Order: sequence, then C-alpha cells, then structure tokens
Amino acid sequence: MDTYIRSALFIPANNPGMVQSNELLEADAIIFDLEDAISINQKDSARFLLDEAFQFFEKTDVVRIVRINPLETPFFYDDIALVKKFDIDFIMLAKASVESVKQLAQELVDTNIKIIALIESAYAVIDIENILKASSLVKGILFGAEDFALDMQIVRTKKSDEILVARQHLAITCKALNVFALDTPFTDVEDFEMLVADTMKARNFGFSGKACINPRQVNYVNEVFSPSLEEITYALEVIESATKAQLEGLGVFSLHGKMVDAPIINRAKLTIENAKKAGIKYE
Amino acid sequence: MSKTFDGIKEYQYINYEFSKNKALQLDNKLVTLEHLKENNVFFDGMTISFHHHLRNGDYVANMLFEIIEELALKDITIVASSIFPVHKPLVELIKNGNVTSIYAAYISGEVADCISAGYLKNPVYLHSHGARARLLLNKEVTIDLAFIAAPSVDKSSNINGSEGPSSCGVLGYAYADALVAKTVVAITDNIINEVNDIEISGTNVDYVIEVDSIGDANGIVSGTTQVTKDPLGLLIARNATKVIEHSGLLKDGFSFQTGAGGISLAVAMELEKIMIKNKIKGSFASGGITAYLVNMLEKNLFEKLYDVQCFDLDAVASIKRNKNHHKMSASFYANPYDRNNIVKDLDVVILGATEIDLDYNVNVTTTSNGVLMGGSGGHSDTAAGAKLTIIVSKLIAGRISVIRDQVTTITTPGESVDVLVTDYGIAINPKHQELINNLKDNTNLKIYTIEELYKKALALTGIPKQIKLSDEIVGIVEYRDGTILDYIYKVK
Repeated sequence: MDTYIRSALFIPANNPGMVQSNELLEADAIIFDLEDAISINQKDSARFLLDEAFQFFEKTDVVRIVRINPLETPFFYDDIALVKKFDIDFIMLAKASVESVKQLAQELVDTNIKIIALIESAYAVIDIENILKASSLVKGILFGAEDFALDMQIVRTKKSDEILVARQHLAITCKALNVFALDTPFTDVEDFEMLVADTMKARNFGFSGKACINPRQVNYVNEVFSPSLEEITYALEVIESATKAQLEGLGVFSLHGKMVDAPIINRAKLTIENAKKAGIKYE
Repeated sequence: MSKTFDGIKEYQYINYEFSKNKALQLDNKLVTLEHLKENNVFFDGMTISFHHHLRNGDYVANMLFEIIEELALKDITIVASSIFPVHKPLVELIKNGNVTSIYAAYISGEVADCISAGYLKNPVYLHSHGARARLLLNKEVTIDLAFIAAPSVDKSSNINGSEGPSSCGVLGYAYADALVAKTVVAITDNIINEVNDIEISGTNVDYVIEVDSIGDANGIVSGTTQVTKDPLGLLIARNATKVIEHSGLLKDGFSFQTGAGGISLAVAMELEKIMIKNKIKGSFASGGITAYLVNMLEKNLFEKLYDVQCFDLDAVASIKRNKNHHKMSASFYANPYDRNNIVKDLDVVILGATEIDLDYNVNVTTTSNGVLMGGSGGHSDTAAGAKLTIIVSKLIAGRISVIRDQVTTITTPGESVDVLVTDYGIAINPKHQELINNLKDNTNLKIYTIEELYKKALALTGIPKQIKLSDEIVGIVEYRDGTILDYIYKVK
C-alpha cells in the first residue's frame, strides 16, 4: 500500500481548463471522470480531450486516476480500449463488482495500471472482501455514498450517521487486506466547517484519504490527513527519547508524565513517515 | 529589503492664491451652473480638474463635459484623478478638439480606446496617485477650476464624503485640488447644517451648486467586495501569504496594503488567520479600504486604517463610526515629496499585473496589444514604498503568458518589485537571495527563477507574435518623481 493519497479530486474529463491546470490544484490524486460528470452525448469528446491532454502534459507526482463507465453500460470497453494506452496510475471502476473487476483486470494484463474499486451499492459493501480479492490489481477503494444511499433508499445527511456502518466496514476490510480506502466526497461545497468535521471522522474510521468534488475542498482534506506540527514535534520527542531509552535498555519510559511503549513509538514513526510523504518541512 | 528612492525633495510651503469668494458663507456661494457660465468661470485654454471618488457612478464630470460642449470651449486640459467608462461623453470632446490634453492616474473604457486610437491632440500624461498630489501641490500643473463632486456640503460650505445619498466615504484624491485650484466649485445633492467631519474646508470653496443627484449609488461603491472562489486564485493567495509569513516582516507593528481584487482580498483573509493564530497586531493597513480590512481592524489585528478611498459599503460605514479608521489625502498616502507619506512605511503590498517582464517591470497601463486600459493608480507608489512588493497573478490569462521578455508599457519599474506569485510557482527578484533560501529551506513553495516560470508559460502558450505599434506617441507614463518611464504608442 505505497500509494499516498490524502485527497482525490474529481474533474470532468471534458473540461479543458481543469484538465490543463489539474496538477496545480494541490490534490494528491486527480480523478479524470468519464462517468457521471459526462453526459451521454459528451463521452467521445471527453475521451478525445483526455487523449490529447495526456499526450501533451508530462506525468508529474500527482497520481492520475481515470474513472470509467461501469460494465453494464455500452461505454465500458470503449473507455478501457483508450484509457489503457494512457500514462496513468489507476482506473477507477464505477459500480465495481467481482465480475466487473475480473473483466477489467483481464484487459489490463499488459499494462502497469492498477484498479480502484468504486463501492456504491449495498451488495458491494457486503461483498467488499470478494471484490478486493477478485484481482491483485485492486489496490484501493472509493466509497460512493450517494449511490449507496440511493440503493438503500435512505436520505443522506451532513452528519452521515446513516452510512456509519458501511464506512467502518469498508475501512476495516481495506486495512485488513492492505489496500487503501478513500472516503466518499462531502457534497456541500460551501460548508468547509462540516467538511473538516466529516473528514476528521473518516480519518478516525481508518480511511487514508477522501475524494473531493470541488478544488476548494482539497486544502482542507489534505490538512486533516496530514500530521499537524504539534503531532510532528511530539513524534520527534518520542523517537528521540526512545533512542535514549533503548541505549539504557529500557522498553518502556515516561515522557511528559505519560507512559511510552512500542505502539506509541510505532505511531510516532508513522507520523514522521506521513509528514515526509506530505512534504512537510519540520526541521 | 529596504528601498531607497532617488530624487525625493523636501516639500516646500507654497503660498496658494485665495479668491475673495472663498471667504463668503454658503448663501453667497450657492449659485447655478448658468451663473457660472455667465460669469466667465469657463474659458478657452483652461485647466479643469475632477476626482474619481464616485467611480463608475459619477454624474458630475459628465455635467462638466456638457458645459464644455455647450460653450464650445477649445483647448481644455483635463486633470482627473481617474477616468472611467461612465465618462464616455469625453470622447466626442476629444475628437472635436474641445479637450486637447489629459492628466490622469488611470483611464479605462471608451476614453482610453479613443486616446489609443490617436484622437487626443497632445499625448495623455499618466502618473501615479502620489505623483498627482505632487503635480498639483508643487504647482507643476496649475488648475484653473476644480469641479468637485461633494456628497455633503454644510452651511459653511465645508465638504464631506461620508454623508448623504451619494456618500463615497472619503475624498482623499480631491484635497489637493481644493487647495490649489484658482476656482473651486462644489457640486452636491446634499446640503446640511453641519458636516460631521470636515474633509475640505469651506474656506477653499468658491461656489456651491446644488443638483438633484451627483451619482448612481450602485456605481459609486460595491455593495460588497468578494474574495475569489477560483481555486487557482485561492492557491495564489495562500502561497503569497506563506511568502509574507517567511519574510520576517510579519510581526507586531506589521503594515500592509492590498487591493480590492478577488485574489488580493483572499490574501487579506489568509493573513487574518495567521495573525490571529500567532497573536500578531499590525500597525496599519492602507489604501483603498474594503470590508476585509475593516473586519481586521475590528478584530484588533491592526491599530489603524489609513483610507484614501472606500471600496465598499462596509468601509463607508466604518469610516463614519470608527475613530481608528482615518481619512487621508492622496499626498499623505503617496506623494514622494510629502515627508510623512504612508507608503514609505509599508512592510508589504499586494499588487496585480497585466504583464511582468524578466526584469520584474510591471505593466498595468496597457493591454498586451498596446491599448490603454488602466494606469498606475497607487501601483508604482506602493511598490516603491513597501519593503516587500508582491505581484499576484495567474501565469496564463486569456491564453497569454503574464511574463514577457519586455512589458508593453512600464508602469512600475522592476527595481521596486520583489516577488511574483503565480499558480505555477513563485519567482523572486534575485536581489533577495536570503528570502529565496529561506523559502526553499523551510516551505514547500515552488520557487523558480522568472526565466524558468516564463519557460513553463511558453511551453503551454507557444511564443507570442510581436505586436506592431505605430511610432506615434499618444501617451507619456511618468514615474512618481516626475521622470519619464515609458511611452504609449498609437494602435495601428
């Protein structure tokens, strides 16, 4: 699970301005959308623009993901035929199922492209373990709560209590199978306070990142999924004290009046690792 | 990072002339435009000034233009602080030879197009706001008649900008006109017993004219000024703020100026967060004032606001109620010969650019096609005064790179420009090596040379064709000390 994605920003693949400036938007990953954001009569033009853009713009550190249409649509194979030629990291498979993951994996045999499964039905939530095991190319998931709520015939709320179990189930399963889990986007693009609260909830459930549907959400999401300077300072203190304690032959020691043992030391190391991945300069 | 400014002379007291009319009470000064026309207040070859505080809602300058046309005056010189699209009637006066010379700090709209097309007999003279105060107070230009739009006039003919239906908050650009003009006419739609706060003393006023309305409130100030919602604009603002944070200037006593554009306002918003977090109290913010700076004053993040022009209704309301929100004249703001001018005490200013070149010269005067569309305003004044001048702009606008080999017109010389923040990265004037190293070592900001950023832009836009302008000079761009910076050429 080397991929580091705190924020994954959806942009419509037929929007030239956003396609051109995608790498500037500070998202760790960009999801170029050929599915829901593109109306049926625009599918060809979106593919054409993406083809031109990927030929012109060199790939950068930003993770490239293309969301393709589901297996059940007439666009699935046309999307794959084009997208598999691109220099991209992932294909995001809408309405992923065991069957569609296997079909897609077959098509990607000769490429380096991996799969992100979009989990957006009640059955997919329950069947998540099998979907993740359907191909070794599946490296992560995105939870699509809006379609999930539609399938469940439940009303989505900002507090998101109605998707609590699904979120936790997906996060735990992904952690268990060592794939990354991206949380569903927060759909009110003007409410940044609730976005932060929702993102903190996702982080605490075990999601490694969150999808964004507006570039202005990216910075807030990145901040929640990055260690704070206070966390980094404490982690550095823990590591320094642990090194000293080790020389003195101590497995457990006290720092600021609190006991420090192996899990806390490992967490401190993880914090520093994440700070480095986030590009935070702390020295 | 401190800058020196060559050519500053000590301000010297000039004994301005006073007419006997100035000593009269309002009843004796209150006349009609007809009275002025009949009493030879207007004559051929005269120089007339007006201010732009009513911005694109101004009715008063157009009343003046009507008189010029009606009396068929010839060879008139207009000395305006700025000219806006609403002043379109001036076009015919230029074409007919009624108006043959213009001085202004900023010109946009059809008057600008008309000048670029070569209709004005003499080259337009473009200066900064501070230089206009210098020109007038130093009597480098003699004003025969100041035509002053006055939101309120009282029984002693004192003038105030922050009361009345056409209130604009402050009249900072008009103070010099009232002081030096041989004849001062106040045009008002609001005569009251006593103004709260005298901006222009009645002893400087010769005539008062009462009219139904001096302006359209909607065009005078914006209801609200808005921070950009454009994610790239917000990115630029965040990164500009990081530069300020690491400049060593953001500490107690910090002074700051920013414009009313969406990105500039976003910088103020980001700055507010950092100042609150780090418990920093600034000394002052200055310039055209918006709700965002008012908000920072009210949160005690600045001790004072120095306001030469209110940009929105919140600023107008604040200047009336908050004793720490000070009105200032254009001279106190930015006149290089005024020893107390505020811009020399600025730590940081945020400015825009239409073009910036590899020598950091900035153009906000003409389009990339060479057509007049603006002017310095306070751009070159604040850039010269501030310790850190930051230009914020998208690297590519309208498919054209903001960076050029050479700007079409120099508005602000590169020696007073320190940082360019774009969506693709940041370029810092090489004279600030310490700042460059600091930002590279301690932030994630993408720091490039301006040549590297230019290359990035050209990779996307291709190399632009050279614009061919004629050899005919239609404008002179003057720096704040009176030296000539550049010329504007007739568009082919």
